[in-house]
Amino acid sequence: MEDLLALAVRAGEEAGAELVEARGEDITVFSMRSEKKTVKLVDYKRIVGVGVRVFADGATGYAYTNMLTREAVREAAVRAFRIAKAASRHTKLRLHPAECKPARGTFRVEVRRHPGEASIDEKKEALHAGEREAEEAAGRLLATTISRYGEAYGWRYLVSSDSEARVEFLVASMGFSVVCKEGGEMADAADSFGGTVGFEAFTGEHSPEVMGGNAARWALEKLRGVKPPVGKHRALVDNRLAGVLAHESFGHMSEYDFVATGGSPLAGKIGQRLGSSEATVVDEGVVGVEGYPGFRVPCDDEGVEARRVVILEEGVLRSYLHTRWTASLAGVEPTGNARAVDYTFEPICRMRNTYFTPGDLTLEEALEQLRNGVYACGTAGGQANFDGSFMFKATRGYLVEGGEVKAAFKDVAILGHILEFLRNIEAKTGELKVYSSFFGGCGKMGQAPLYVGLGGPHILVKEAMFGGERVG
Amino acid sequence: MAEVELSDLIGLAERVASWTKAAGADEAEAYVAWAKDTYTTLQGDVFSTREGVSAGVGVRAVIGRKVGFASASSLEEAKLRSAAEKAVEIARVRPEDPKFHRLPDPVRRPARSGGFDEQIIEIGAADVVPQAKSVSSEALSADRRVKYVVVFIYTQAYMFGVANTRGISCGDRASKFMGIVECKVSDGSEERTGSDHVYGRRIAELAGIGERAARLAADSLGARGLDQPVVGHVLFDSTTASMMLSMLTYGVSARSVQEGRSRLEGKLGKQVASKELTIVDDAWMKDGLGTVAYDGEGVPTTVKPVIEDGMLRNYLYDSYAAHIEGKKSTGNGMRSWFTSQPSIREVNYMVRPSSRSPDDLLSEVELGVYVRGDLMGLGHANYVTGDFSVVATNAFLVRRGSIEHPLPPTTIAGNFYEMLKTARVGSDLRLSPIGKIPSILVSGLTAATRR
Repeated sequence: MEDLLALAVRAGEEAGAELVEARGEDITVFSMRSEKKTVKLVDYKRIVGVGVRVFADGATGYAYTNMLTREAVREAAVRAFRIAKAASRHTKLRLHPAECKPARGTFRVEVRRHPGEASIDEKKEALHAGEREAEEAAGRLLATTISRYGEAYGWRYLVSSDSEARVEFLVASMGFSVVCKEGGEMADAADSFGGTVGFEAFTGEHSPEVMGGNAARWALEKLRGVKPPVGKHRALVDNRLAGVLAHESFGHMSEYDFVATGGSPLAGKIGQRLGSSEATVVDEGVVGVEGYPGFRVPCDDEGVEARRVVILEEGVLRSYLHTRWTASLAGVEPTGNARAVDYTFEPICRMRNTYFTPGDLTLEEALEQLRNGVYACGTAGGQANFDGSFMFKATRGYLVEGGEVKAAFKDVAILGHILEFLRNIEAKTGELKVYSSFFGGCGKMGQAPLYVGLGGPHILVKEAMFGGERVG
Repeated sequence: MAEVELSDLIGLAERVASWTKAAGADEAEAYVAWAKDTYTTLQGDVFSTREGVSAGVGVRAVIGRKVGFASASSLEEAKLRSAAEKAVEIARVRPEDPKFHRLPDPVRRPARSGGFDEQIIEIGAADVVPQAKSVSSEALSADRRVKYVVVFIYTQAYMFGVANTRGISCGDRASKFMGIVECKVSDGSEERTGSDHVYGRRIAELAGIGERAARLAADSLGARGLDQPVVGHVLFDSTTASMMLSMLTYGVSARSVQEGRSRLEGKLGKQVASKELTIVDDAWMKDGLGTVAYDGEGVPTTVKPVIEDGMLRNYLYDSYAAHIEGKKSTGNGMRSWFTSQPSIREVNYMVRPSSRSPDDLLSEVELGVYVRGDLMGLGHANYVTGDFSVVATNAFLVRRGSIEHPLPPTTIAGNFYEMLKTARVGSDLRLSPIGKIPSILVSGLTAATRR
């Protein structure tokens, strides 16, 4: 593979390109979905191909092939070059790659048991074990159980005019959702775990039995839950919900391609205070948190080492996320945020692992400091708009009174504006958890699902707006 | 450029099917596809353009009544073999499907290919770039209020071979061309969008679409909201009518009918639409985007009425649904790529046109809305009941047969199946991704806007 990529780079350079990047991949994708302990869907895909991106005359071109012959790969390089030349003749804006710290070498993933080594049967048994636990926990109120397992693994190879790297690729995740019913009422809840992890990760608190049981118990709580807490309240959001806000609502606004076109509310705000001194948001490639690695991206798809980017530091906007050409446009160093969903797409500005940094409270102390308010956990859909407004349905939520978790709500949705949320951050717990999932990755400009990580600690906010399911 | 020929793909499909059987399947099917695509996008002043070739196989392995599916994006033997073996392994963990009988047998009946543009095999995205630029320039110069233009041009050359161990072995080629433009206009206080497109199987001239999109956007400026919702006529232009009619496929799919999810269950031979409405699923439409000689299972596609003079005539079948009723597949087990399994879809809908122009239809509207541009939210419609609520980007209030003024984005809500009963069709057939559709006038829908 690397020989073919080197050939493509030479072909592009000989044609007269400013920079050539060739990327190859061999990825295996497997997923399984079971309902009521019956395997409903099994999908297996092997994805192999090569893509070549060329910078020439201030424009870019991209061509791909999965015919892995020298002729086909050379032709892809030439075609990419022709596209760049043609585009250059018809646009005024000049795109050039910024100088960067190129990635070199082999980036392996270390796990105890590679998910590809577990048999399909073993994965099926794991899902069914979780569903059995859910059935038992939900008892006669059970309506349905759904379980899912997905993994993608393999290698990506990057050879460019100034870098050469081979990067191991791995994501695995497992999840359970349960619907309970009583009279005319229905409620659902889910638990899941995933990231760049081995199959051994699905043990202990992330074992199928614990996750299946959690989903059932949480669905039961909601079934007998109290009415949603409509209005403004003090609030504590958990690690997952914090992560979704960091990624969906704040992170996208910091992608420099959106900033450059003036579409982002963060345009021109570097150095300005946007949040409280407790609000720090980071995007990085390799998260060093034991047990919660998110999705590992040691270098990006332009062959740039993945830097840790502190987007927001103690409330002050410090940096945007960059690819090589956006960095050149902004006059800064690339951050290693250029990512492509597969070989048929060119890399664009994307997040890697985006999270709020932790503070020092324990969960008990955070609840004590909250005193009276809403404790909201996870997300079950919603949306973030480009103006910074958002609405997310929490997976579950609780009424907190006198620092103690009381009744569960039937449903909870948190809504508002991300900048207001950042201003209202009062305190954070000490644990950092970063999650990733095979299911429902990030989507942008037709490139989906891109695996990303997101997370944070528990975050205490002075005030947040809540609604029920139908709000928003 | 086409270093792969159709006959190679068919030969590969036969080999993969036999490897799958050798790996332990009772019977097997392989669908091998090759595509060359170019995507040229011009957003404002930034091109993002790519092209490429990819190919691969999707394998179905059958063990008893268990079916496994696996795919590989490669034509290398080792990868094809691994997909064959994986499909067998997956079949083993699948539950028995009591409704599954067998893969289809070869069907002897005439099959016709659609038009194929050899040029599309040779063309590169670089060749399309100037065309994209001129569409953008045309839109920008059409009206000084045009602020932003996005142009998207897509070409595709597609070939597939499909073979199963019951003797099916066939394939076909198709070419596709799409040019789409969207522009944004602003007069300082109000922002509107407009769009236009050209679809076809051959590379086509795009002159005119930039100007039409700009004019639609500009004509939508000066919008005034409705004081109260209007319940009356809605005239869908050919573009929006084709988006609405895409809802029909769910209802006429034999799968939906068998699973009790179709409003058209038990309605064969009965009146389900106005007498004016005749819709044929026309696999022989030479220039139709869906036209293909064989479906994704290798069954020849067919020409048959779906609705004739308002009467429901046929459901659409793939081999799975056909076996359940002891019928023959109508050749509607369509596949768009090797990564997907067959699913029931129309080949091309052909709506029988009338002799009335869109203006004639408009003149029949006492009070209602003329809908052009784009419809958003159709994906959220309830396909089982037919209830929908969509937002029309470019709608105009019509009173006593003439357009009064543009409306802000307008919510159009109602029921698809009730709507069919009121349909009156125009003469202006236009090629769309689902077939050839004219303007359609309906009544009983509710139109509402912000005040």
